[in-house]
Amino acid sequence: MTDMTKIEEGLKLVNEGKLTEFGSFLADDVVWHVGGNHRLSGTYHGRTAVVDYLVKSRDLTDGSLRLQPVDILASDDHAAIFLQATGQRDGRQMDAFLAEAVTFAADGRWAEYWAISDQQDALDEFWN
Amino acid sequence: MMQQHPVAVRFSQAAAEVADGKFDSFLDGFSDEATWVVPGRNPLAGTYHGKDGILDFFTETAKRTGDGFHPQPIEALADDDHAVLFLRVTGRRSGADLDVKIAHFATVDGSGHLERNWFLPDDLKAWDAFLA
Repeated sequence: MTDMTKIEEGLKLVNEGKLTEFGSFLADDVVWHVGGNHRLSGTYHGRTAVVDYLVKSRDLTDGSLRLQPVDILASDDHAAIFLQATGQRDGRQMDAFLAEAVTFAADGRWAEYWAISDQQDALDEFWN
Repeated sequence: MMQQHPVAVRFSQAAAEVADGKFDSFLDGFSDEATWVVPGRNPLAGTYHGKDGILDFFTETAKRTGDGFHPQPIEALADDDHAVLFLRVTGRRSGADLDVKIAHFATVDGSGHLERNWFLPDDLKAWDAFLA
């Protein structure tokens, strides 16, 4: 069973802007899917591209982006993280319920990731 | 082996019911107020409301693709509040075959029914092409 505190630790590193450290959670060939129709949407391949994406997210929000977990479900192979994402950008506020899914590699690192909200239009407006 | 949450069992069954065309039993797993958010930039993208809305999505998909979807559950996880289903979805239509892994998220109401539903395939371009 995946250690849920490890997932919480990963989110904490992202919230603290320790993105290179968070990168150690990721498989070398991680595939990272960001849903929606905004400037950051799309699929990122590899740890470097994902960390670059996270840096861009942090910089666009002047470090205000916060991911507050609401619920975490996990098995050996997969996890889902339901969270509240908040942040500010150019006078805009984000306060959105978001879901993330993870497939784990055999060594426990994150191999594939999905993130999308059921209120995606509001997120698209925030990022665009 | 840890026992699966009943909602996770139901969620996996729902995928099998779609594959078998058993939409009455499939829809029993959803709240009357369910929402179903279809991602992407395709004619079927958007939010569907209620069981009738969800059925409309599958009906329209079958009309457009001729044969609809073939979902195969990989793993479902759930507690009393939330659920996720990882599944592979395949489909065939002229010029746009589909083979994607999807993460389908849901909130769970007080009766154990799936309420808010949203999902993301691992290849959104292929998804959009399939539903175009």
